[in-house]
Amino acid sequence: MEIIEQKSLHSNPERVYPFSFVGTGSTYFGIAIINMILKIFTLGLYYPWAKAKELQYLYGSTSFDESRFEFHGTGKEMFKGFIKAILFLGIIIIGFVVLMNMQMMILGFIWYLGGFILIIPLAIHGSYKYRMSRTSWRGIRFGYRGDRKEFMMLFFKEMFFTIISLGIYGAWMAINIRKYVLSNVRFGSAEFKYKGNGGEFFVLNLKGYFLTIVTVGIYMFWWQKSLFQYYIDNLSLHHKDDTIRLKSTASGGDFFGLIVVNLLMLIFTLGIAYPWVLTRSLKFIFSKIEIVGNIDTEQLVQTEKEYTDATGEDMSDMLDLGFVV
Amino acid sequence: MSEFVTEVKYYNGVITKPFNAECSINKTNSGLILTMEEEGVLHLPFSELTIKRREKSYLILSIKNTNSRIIEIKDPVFIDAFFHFNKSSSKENWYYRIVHAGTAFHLLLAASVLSLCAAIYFFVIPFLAEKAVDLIPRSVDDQIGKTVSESPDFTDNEDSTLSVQLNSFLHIMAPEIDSRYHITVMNDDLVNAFALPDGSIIINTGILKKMNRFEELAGVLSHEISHVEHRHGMRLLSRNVSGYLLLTLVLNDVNGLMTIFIDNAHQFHTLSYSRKFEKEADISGLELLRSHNINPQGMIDLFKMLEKEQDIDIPEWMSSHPVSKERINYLQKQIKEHPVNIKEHQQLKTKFDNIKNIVSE
Repeated sequence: MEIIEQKSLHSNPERVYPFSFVGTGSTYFGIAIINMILKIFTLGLYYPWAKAKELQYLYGSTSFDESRFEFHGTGKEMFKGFIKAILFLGIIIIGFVVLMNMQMMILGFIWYLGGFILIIPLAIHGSYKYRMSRTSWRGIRFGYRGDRKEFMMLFFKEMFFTIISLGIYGAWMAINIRKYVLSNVRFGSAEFKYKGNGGEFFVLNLKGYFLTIVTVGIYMFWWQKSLFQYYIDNLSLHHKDDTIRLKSTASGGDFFGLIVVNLLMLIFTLGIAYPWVLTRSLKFIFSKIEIVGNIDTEQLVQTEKEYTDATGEDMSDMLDLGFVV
Repeated sequence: MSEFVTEVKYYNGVITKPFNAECSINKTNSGLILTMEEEGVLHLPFSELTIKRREKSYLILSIKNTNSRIIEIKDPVFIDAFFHFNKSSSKENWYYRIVHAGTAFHLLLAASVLSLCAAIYFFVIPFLAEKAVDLIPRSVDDQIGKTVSESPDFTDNEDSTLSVQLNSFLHIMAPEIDSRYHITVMNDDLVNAFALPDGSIIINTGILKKMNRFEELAGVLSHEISHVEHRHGMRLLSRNVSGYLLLTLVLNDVNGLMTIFIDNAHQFHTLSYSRKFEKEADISGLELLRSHNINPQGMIDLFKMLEKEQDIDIPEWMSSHPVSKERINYLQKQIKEHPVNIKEHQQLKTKFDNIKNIVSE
């Protein structure tokens, strides 16, 4: 009885944390144009530096509880990662060509396919480790504590079930991987948790798929809304006994407006409006995430190590995996 | 005492708790001085500060080599002063000014760079690509051609009797011709003939059936030989690859939509280039006929026949070949300008009749 009393005495009152994106399309356009020019004149070699500039801007434009996020990744780090990633992919491709020339077709294909399957979890793991470690808020780093071996085993196991179930297990795979990755993300001394289950996710997608067909595509926006909601609402942050919960307030109509306007903007400007499309999308998405809880944002402590190897980050880029799992 | 003083927040890299600090610019030692109750006084030279985020009234600095000790400044006057006195941030200043120069300026910048690229694409690349072809040995053309001409698609479908006949026709017509030229006749009713870079000339039985005079066959052969002589295949390839490289370089991170537009435009431009090659092959084909005293009218008859064959009227810009009417016009003009001393070619005639007999069997 006494313990419970004490706990509630010490816990902080619930409150809403302000969260928003303050970047503008015109500034982002400026960054993108300069990057484009430098990329042209360096025959594309500027790419890692361009990416660093863009990420710095996007992270620095994201404000949580009145402070901005900081991205510390540098072009140099990502360039080194890029070279390593090319070596990895090069080994796969050269091995494939050599085996093919030796008339070992089957072995060649196994090598090629196996190489790429092996590289996907490595890329996801590496990019999370790098991206999280290079992100901070009020000087306190994020971190990814997933274990590489453990994650690879999980990935192959899930992949195996997905293949033998002819893809049906894919919904469980997506959620189990997301759960593993997100639940290993640290924000200083605070920990993220993702709860969600494959069954729910499967039903959600099945419903979305059929209703989209039945409504000739219109339900797509509501499906999108549910996917977003499933991502956000199951995510929470824990610090000691306190928690912060995330909640999506976006409606299907919101997504409809966002996506249709984005498409029109892109079509009528031949793609030039892309920076505005990106910034308004981020503005929209962040404004539709409600963050409530009782964690004291002044008490998060530095716990995560620095990690500067960007190989996984660059590999993800090359494989076009995208960042969010 | 400096007049530039403001309240800032300092984060010590250990905890997210903000420390209120009085921040002033130290002009003599060129740096910032932070005075705090809890953390004491920090002397920070400008050279040790990294700018993490800069806005008119928002500045985040990190203290060098830590990335975790952060200063947050929200006073626009102080921020201006910071950049005024901080000489080590001149590179940053340039970048900031360009990024914030306004959309009109950025559009202008983008337009000028894109027009420079367009100029390179339309004028420099074709020139360099053609020059590059001169450096590539002919053996590469042969390699590329052989991979196609030796593929089962071609070898399985060959009419070898006709091939022998046509090759002998070619040697009667132009005995001095390079040994690389070899004719393969394919059993295919499609009215078509083409040359591969290694000198293989593929002729369908379909086009042979449509021919009435040996001069027509001579016309087709001289046209195809000219393609190979001028290395049109290699030039098209070289130009295509280099043009594509430039385009992907410029547009690699612009979204897919733009790429599709450009891709199609590139196709059309390539077509105009191949029309130029066709014309070149027509004209030097005529020269070849002239040098062997063969009546060039055969070539014109052939194109008239091809035109009839083509039911739909394709506008010139969408076609890889010059529109036949225009083609006939410039051929006639050429013939008028360079009259041919036509001779009797009994041997070729006989050979041709022989071929026609086999085809119509």
